[in-house]
Amino acid sequence: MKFSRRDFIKACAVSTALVSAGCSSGRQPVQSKPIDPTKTEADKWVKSVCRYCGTGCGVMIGVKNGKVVAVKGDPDNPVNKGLLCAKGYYLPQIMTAKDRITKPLIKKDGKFVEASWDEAMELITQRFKESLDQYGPASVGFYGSGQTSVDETYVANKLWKGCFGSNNVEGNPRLCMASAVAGYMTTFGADEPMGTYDDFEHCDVFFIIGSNTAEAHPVLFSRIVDHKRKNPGTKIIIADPRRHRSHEIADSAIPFIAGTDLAILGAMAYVIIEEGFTDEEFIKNHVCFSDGANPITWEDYKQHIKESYTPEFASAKSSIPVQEIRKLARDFAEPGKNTMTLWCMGINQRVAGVFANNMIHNLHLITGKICKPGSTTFSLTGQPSACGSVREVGGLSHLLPGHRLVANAAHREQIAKIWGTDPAKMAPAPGWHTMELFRRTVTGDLKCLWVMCTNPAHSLPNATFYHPGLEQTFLVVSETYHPTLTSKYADVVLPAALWCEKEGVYGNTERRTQHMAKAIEPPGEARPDVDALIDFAHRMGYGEVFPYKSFEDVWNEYLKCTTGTDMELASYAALKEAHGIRWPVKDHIGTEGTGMRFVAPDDPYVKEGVDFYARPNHRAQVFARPYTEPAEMPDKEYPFCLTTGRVLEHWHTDTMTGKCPAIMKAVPTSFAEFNSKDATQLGIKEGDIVRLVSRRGTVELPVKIERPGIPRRGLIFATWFEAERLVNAVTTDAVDAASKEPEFKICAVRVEKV
Amino acid sequence: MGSIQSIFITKQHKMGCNLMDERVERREVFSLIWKDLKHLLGYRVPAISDEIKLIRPPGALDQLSFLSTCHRCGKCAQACPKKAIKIAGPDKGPSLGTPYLEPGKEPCTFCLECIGVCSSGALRKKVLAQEYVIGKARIDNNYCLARNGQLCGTCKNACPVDISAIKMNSYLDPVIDVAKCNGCGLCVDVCLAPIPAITIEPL
Repeated sequence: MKFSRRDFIKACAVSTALVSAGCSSGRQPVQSKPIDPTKTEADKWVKSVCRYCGTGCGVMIGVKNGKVVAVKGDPDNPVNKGLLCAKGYYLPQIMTAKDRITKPLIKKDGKFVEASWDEAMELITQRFKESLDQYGPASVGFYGSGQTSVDETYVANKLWKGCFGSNNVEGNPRLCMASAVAGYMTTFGADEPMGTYDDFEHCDVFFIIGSNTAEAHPVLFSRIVDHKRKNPGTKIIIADPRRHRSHEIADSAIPFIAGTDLAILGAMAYVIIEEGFTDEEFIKNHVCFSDGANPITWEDYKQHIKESYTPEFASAKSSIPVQEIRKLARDFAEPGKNTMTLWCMGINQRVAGVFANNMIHNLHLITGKICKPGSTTFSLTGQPSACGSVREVGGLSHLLPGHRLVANAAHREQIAKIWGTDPAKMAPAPGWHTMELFRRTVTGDLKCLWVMCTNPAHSLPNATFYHPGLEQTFLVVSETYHPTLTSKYADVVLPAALWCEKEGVYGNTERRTQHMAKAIEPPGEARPDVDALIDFAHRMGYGEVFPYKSFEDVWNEYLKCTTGTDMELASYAALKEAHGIRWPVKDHIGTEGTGMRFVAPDDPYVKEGVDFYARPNHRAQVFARPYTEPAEMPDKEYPFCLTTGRVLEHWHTDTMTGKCPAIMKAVPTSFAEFNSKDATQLGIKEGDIVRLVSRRGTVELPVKIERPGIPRRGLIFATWFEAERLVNAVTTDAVDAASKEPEFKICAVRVEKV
Repeated sequence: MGSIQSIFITKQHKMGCNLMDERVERREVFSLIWKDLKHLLGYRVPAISDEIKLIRPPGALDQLSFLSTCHRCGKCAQACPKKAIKIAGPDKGPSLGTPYLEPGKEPCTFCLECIGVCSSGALRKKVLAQEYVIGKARIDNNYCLARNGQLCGTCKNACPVDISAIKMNSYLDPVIDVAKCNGCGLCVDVCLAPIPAITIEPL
């Protein structure tokens, strides 16, 4: 250290000079602004539901001078008890984004020009009429969303299936939940989880597979954390090829090779059977067995597991040591403990998605860890109303409202009666599933497509393949923002009211139906999507079966579709009052709803004990499923496995989160995350740009190394929210044979340095 | 006003260092003179050692030594690939002309280019990577979203894996591990609060 007198005097001189020059130093006081939304002043607070994920957090919207000024968690809502994640906190900013459209747009000579609603609707009507006349009902399609309100999908479904006679009604839940639907339908005969979030607080062992709960469902994760904090004995096992934020609370991790999870699930059954963890009493009373086509016996099933899923086989496939697989099975099946399996897209977005779902249910059924508080199989849903607005309303090509099927003549009859339409007009065969629907835009078979509240040009796998199809089809896009990747291809863009600018109902993961009150007026000429659909129905000549004057009218008609089914919903008045009601609500009476399904006394349809009444023989089916590999595993030419996923800050195609400056500053771009050993081998470092090349397309992404998660070797994790860096140009559109859900989660790529 | 005696006592208490260390002793004496001078002039004069603490580039000497050693040539600022190094203006008092960082606005990547071009010895190479510390992060309870009922943790994600200076207390509440934090500023850069809740404070 050197500090001479001379230096000191020099410093003195400088400072004295500054003093005389009138300069000062010191920190500027920071301007204070309420960070706590509860302290924000508002004219009124309106009860609603968060616009983002499937958790279904209750929110209170603060409105001042006709603007949303704050959003806070609803402390009275049992889902989140006042908590919200950062996305929810910034909801006010999505309402006032600059790129909101306020007038209909029509594409003329390749350019969008503003038009009146009348002009836009007339054009749509004319084009749909032409198409129906010339090419028949199958030439018109509707592609909805798990983010529409119940009434919107309900009206579209009725118009297309009941009036046009076209079953080409699909929605983006096909891309995320279809395998879970098929899993629940095949095993239990009824869609949607039988458990609820309440089970979290009774659970001893959480088995989380294919879900980054911490980032995709932060509020649910905080409930799990809270439970573990109060009960330190709670075991949390996370099976995932990538180490992510949820691992922070994990007691053990199973980092298997991506795509080999069926081997693990099968081997767990092997160990459970071999080491005698089965619940023979439960199996005897409530379970039957099937090989997928024919009934088999418990012994046949055991034989199948013995032959196909030895722990050694699973270990060879997945790289997880045999003793760890055995330990996993023992932890899962430990007698006297309640076990819950949580899964999400890692299981569903797979060509073996339905098999994987069945195999999870199998584990719970053979160990009897089901239908008890804290023991259940619980699939997490990604969108706020994939359950409420699509699965329950029947907004997919094979479904009708109230979990009914298009292919069932009696179901068609029942629904046509409520709709006031001609059952003979309804097509008896399911329409095109999502990937087929968009493939038909490319082949030219689909002439007109109405896309509502979703962004398929960005979110479809192998997306660029379908872009020319969207270009040549007469495309109507109901959107809040323009341009999005999809609205660019539109012929007509209709400005949509967003979230609290309209009244609506969302249904979340745990069967909770929640009413959302209207809080503010939509900007400009933006209208609720349901208005546009009803207007369209009138113009198409079906006005008399669409006499709705209010949301309540639509809800009451929809309610009739659920009467007498196992998913009776709550009345409009009850929903408005309550903070969400879980169906079934017997005879639509009351606000109590149902906790655990298939279990007395919670479930009003069960007299005693457990009854899987949705199955004809009242028994849940355990399926013997063969080991199935992903459609595309890494090979010499494409040596890496690419998986896509979420960060907490962004949601889906970032049309909403991209409007929040703070979020964009924190996470401005999509990225590719590498294992450090792979990065060293490839000679890439943090911040480099790499090109990921698959058999279908390429994308250039900035590199992150083991941050925020750590993918296992050979795996690359990429976020996909950014439109400019279209990760879905690379992903595969191979689909599950039963659920038709594409395998977003696994495809083979090679890495090129840019 | 204290005396030389009292400074010695304080020093002893505070640091337990060798009172006979001539350089330390001298510095304290100068500091005292400086404070007296302030009072004498009747102005709020920024003190060299106490008030104007700037965040210096990595490998910087301690404040006083740095001020006396730095040539104020500005080469480090030119060399900084991120343009994160700024040169202090007159508002920074005796630091005029010296390099400083605002990691909250432009985080430091610790590429150490600046040390490579420093000819004065004010920025010096260290033996271990962990020794490069430019400041310490501090979270303000009033602004942190996570400490005000929202689920957040973006800062934790931003903290480099080899540093991992941010822990989530009870999952909900980010806490800085001061021993590990090197003041890079990545956490400030990503903070989701309307006013960044994290500040990097000089050493």
